[in-house]
Amino acid sequence: MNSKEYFKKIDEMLYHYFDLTLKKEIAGRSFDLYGFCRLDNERYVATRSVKIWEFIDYEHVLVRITGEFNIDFYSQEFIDEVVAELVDAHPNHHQSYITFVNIVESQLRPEDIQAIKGLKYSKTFRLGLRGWCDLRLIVVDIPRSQIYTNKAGKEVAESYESLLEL
Amino acid sequence: MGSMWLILISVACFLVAYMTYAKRLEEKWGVDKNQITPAHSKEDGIDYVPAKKPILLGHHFASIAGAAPIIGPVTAAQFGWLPVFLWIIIGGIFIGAVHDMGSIFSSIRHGGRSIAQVIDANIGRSGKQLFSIFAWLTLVLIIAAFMNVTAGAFVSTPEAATASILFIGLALVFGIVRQRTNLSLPLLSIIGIALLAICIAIGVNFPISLSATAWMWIFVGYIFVASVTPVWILLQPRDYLNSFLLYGILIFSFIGIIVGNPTIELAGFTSFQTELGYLFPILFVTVACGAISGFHSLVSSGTTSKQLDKEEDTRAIGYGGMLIECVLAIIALLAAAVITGGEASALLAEGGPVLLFATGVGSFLANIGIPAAIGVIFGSLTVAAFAMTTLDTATRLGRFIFQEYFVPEDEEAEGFAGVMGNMYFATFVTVISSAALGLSGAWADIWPIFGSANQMLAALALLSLAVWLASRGIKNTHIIIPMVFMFAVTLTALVFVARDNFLAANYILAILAVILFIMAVVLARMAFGFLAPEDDKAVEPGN
Repeated sequence: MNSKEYFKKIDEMLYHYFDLTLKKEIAGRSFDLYGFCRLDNERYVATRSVKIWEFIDYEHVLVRITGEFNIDFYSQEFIDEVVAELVDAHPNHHQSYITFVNIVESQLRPEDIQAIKGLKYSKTFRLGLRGWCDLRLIVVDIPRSQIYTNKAGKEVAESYESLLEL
Repeated sequence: MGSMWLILISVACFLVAYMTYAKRLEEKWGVDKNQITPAHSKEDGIDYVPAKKPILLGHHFASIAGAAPIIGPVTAAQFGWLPVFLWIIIGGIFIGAVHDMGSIFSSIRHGGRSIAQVIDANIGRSGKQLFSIFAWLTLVLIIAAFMNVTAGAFVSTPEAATASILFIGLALVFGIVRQRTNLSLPLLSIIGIALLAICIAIGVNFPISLSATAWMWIFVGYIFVASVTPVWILLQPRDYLNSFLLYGILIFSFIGIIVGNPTIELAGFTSFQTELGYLFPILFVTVACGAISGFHSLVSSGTTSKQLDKEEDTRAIGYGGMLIECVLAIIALLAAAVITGGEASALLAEGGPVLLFATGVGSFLANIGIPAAIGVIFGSLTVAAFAMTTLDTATRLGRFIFQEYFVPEDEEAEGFAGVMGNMYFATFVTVISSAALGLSGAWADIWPIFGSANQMLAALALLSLAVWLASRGIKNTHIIIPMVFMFAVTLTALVFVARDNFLAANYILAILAVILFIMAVVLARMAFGFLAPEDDKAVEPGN
């Protein structure tokens, strides 16, 4: 499977639950695909207009195809800028996931894989009262047909791995 | 007489009713397993989402079960155990469970719309504002009453107070760990239950003794914070852990009763008139959630009907869910009934119905090797936990109604409206009003009106069900008889409430009772003409 085919599969997978935009610029950098999902959780009594609580979860998926992998792309400063642009920690904000999906057309080196697994980013807003934001990094090694993720990305890795098998 | 026989008789009655009477209702009403429910036909991933039967039963039961099926029977035991026992069984089987099942079924045949949605869509702004005032006052009353009941329990069982405070802390930590780690829910739940047991053990050794007034003010602070804090921090994890307390009480008490077969000490029948009033109508208003409660029709038609996977699930969720709550009510009754008259009066005076219930539970658990003192704390903790759930839910709802009254959804809040519509201000007003009512003791005078209004809602739900069945050409005698009974209960209760309040110069309460009376009579009169089945209408599937 080549990178374009895999990209197409991601597009099809995200299509049902995400609003998708091709060629989106975020924090000054270009991404091949941007997916946005919002999940509203609320409780109402008797009628929908009588809402007694509400919280909202978000996921932003940023997909890019690159020839090689470079961990420096995911610097602390850049991630801070992405979070500042995409995350609105309003009173009903619960959690936001920023999921970077990097489709790499060349084989990853061992130090790349180490760097991917070690990448951590988490931010809380107002000591957690306005929720938090976590970073997931999913890197697709096309030549090896393998997925590598950071710790936060493990919970969604299976979805991306299944695309390689199709 | 041994209480084991009563619990076995009641469970047997409920099982037989579920397998026979509920099945008969399915056939009579035309429940169709091939009919597509609104959860599928209107599936939107938001409100209309099909849910599997066991999960929906859990959600539905958690929504309808609270402290009421415990406090009601324990309070009404003053009339003797037999009338309460018979009301729970007969009322539960022929009225309450039918009411719940009918509310779900009629809602799914109307596209999942609820009674409240129909009202909301059709009454004008003035009507809504009047209803809002009534609803807010009712919620202030509920908060005051539950704060009072829980404060009484903590004064009489300070060990339970410590355990409850630790339980809140445990819920906070549980929520954070669940959200921020990869630990599985089953593993976390086991750890949570173990820590819950430790909370009780700590409570035994480090009781916190404060006055009832002090506890009331602590509750004011607690419910203020709990109702403005995001739900994932406290409310959701606490409610999840609460469910283990509920299942624990049900299972352990049932086993304890079977193993120990404690003797019923309470008289079968004491008097037609007690401190509470006359057996008719007071028994049928006091024991609501354990037999029939109008509030259930809001839950059944509000959310449950929108998630029903198949029509045939109505029996398990509507009818079955109510019967499980009836079992809880029977256990509560037996907890009061196994205590001697003198001790029961002393416990009621010292700690109210919660202490009486908890002491009974303690004796059940002692039969299976759990020390009675631990059982008492466990019982008090369970009731307190449910009462606190009701407290912050009622506060949130009261806040919402208060805010919306001054700032309707489609308008911007500025100036005075901006202040009144502020979340913190609205919460503060609601909580302080409740505290004032609770501390004054006046809530005890108002509670009978609330009970009557709740049962009036049940009568109205049965009325709408009867009218709908008639429109489909289905004989509805099995609904009309309970409906007439509930109207009789409600109207009689309101007459007594009006009379007593006029005599005590509480004119506002008296007038409120009169207004509710008139409303009920007018509605019944309007629907009277539609109650007879239309002979020329065949029962068509899907109608």
